[in-house]
Amino acid sequence: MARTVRDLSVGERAVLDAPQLEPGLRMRLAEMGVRRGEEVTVTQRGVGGARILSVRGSRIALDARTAARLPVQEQAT
Amino acid sequence: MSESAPSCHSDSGGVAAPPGTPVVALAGAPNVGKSTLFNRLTGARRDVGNWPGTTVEVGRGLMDDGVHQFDVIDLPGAYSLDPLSPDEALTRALLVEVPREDRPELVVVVGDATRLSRSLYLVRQLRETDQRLVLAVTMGDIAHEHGIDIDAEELQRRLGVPVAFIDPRHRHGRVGLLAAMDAALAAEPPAAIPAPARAAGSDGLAEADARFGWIDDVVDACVSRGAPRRQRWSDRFDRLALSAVLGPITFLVAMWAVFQLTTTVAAPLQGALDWFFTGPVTSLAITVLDAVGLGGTWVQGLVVDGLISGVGMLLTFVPLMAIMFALLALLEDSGYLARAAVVTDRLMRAIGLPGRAFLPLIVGFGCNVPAIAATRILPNARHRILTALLVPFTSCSARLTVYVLVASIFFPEHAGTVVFAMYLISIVFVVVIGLLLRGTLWRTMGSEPLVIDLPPYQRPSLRLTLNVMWLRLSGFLRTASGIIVATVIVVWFLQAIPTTSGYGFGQVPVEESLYATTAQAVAPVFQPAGFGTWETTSALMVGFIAKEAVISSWAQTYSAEEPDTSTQPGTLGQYIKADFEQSSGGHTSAAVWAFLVFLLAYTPCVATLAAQRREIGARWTGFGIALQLSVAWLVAVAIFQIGSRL
Repeated sequence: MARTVRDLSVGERAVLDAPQLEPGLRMRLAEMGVRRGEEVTVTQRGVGGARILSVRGSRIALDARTAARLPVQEQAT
Repeated sequence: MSESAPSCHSDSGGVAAPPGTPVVALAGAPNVGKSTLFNRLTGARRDVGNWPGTTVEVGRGLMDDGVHQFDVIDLPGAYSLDPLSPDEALTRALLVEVPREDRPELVVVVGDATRLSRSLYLVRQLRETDQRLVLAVTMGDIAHEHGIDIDAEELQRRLGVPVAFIDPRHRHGRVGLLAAMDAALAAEPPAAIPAPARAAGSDGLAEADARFGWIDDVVDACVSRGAPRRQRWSDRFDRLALSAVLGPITFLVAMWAVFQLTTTVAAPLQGALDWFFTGPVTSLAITVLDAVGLGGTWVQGLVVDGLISGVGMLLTFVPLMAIMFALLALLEDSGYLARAAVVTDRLMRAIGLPGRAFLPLIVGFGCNVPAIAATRILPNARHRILTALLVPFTSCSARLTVYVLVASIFFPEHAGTVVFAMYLISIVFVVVIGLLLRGTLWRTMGSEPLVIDLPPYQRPSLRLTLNVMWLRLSGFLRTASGIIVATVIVVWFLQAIPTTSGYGFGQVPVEESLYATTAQAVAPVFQPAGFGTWETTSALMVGFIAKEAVISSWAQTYSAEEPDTSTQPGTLGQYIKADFEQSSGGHTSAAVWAFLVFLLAYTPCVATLAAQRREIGARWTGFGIALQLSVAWLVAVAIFQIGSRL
């Protein structure tokens, strides 16, 4: 099972894989910078399980369900 | 122009520009400072309203500084030209789908320097047409603080359109922007960049990725990101504002402050205005009328009880609305509103509403009128309509005075508990009606996932706050004034027409007026709810104008002294008690509960209707009236029928 943004711990960096979301939402996220190939950091786990992502210098809040549909690429560390 | 073919050159309201004035459309993502720029450019000569045939709010105004004249359109926020929202659909319709001659002469894409890549998608899509473009970059100062530097010349070269840095917060860069606009208008339209090849059966994502690739190249070449100079204050505050425990507490404190300011602080101002109209203004009017020989005639009634009390009522809302609008602007501008939506998302989703609906619903418990106005923080039109229909079920403070009076007449030992129960019932109404509406009217309204952009916190600008406040306040006054004053005058008129001989027009006691006859005709409707007397009906009819008027109507009807405090009902209480005992056939408690619930659920006041008409249109307002009256009546009847059989 691929790891997703939901599995990231706070402060961990990861590179996004293709989002598993319906096209409209996927597009909206892509426009906000959340798309395949972008490096993201979870800056915070918020109220109700929301994830706060740092991507290209901006902050995006996502609910846990959406975060679980955003796989991250496995990294050779 | 038909609705299916909108055109920027059609007369869509707004400030008339001389024919031939170049049309300039401002486009860009939400929260990039687009409307601020629009306000700066057009000054007072602008108009904000829904684009014909849509619920999308568009501003239009004339910019004229003596040298330049532009007919400026402030398009709604759009990240792209892909019609994922009504706002984007309208932007697309006006900029792409119409014939070339109907498009604006120039599009100014407004982009935020702190997240430039996001603004460039729209630029890229427009560059795939031969549209004349200017990129106006805002928030350069904030970007600089975050260590982001943008090479304007390189950006201009890569994009192939003039780029101007503006900072509308501090009035910089206007000259540069106008020069860029002049340059773009003087030059040939830029050659279109070929659109990415569309693969057969593609859902558009491959094209999107191609555009984002192009944007990444542009950004890499033009934007340098120094290491952030300091840990961002914004992130630090978010650790509090979004945390699982302190986040909701911070939110509740913020809401408490909004609630206090719109009730406790606004109340004395409202009281003072009310005193001003019932005191000095009324005395002055009577003096003047006496002097011209009209004192004591129906003209005095019309002026004092109709006009002055109508206008006075409208104006007592002004401080309240001003405070509400200023707070909204403050919450939006500071960046906190986006955090509040995150905090409330889970809870509100459980009852099928978006997180942002929390604010209007909380404010509704103070006063429904500013609460309806607050629904505009909801970006989705259907959510806005749903919330505006639910707000009247939140029990406002005007209803509280009636609960207190009725509860202390009938349940003197438990008045506090009764009043508390009314608030609980109010919450139940909001949740149940919300679920019912979603289960019927808006079955397709999905529960949208929470995906929200958190702009960095910033110090709100006083000028901007006041500007937005004034814009919204004047809009409210324009729409509300007619409805409120007209309704007050109609009621006065009905009360002035005698139905028995021996009285002149405007000289008749209420019980002999057409108003009482109307109430008598309506009263049987409330028979099954146990309070079908004309006296109670008459009070409820006046309550349609304002709930505060229910008690004074009772007092007037029974010719009893209005009690000094509503907890000391006095003789008025005895009359009301006798009335309910008689109408309920002995099941007084059941009738009283039915009455209280009816009072809670039916149309709160004419000012709420005026606010609804402004926010969601006349049709939905009419639907709301029907909804509230039928819900109120059905529940009241159910309570009495069941309660009287127990």
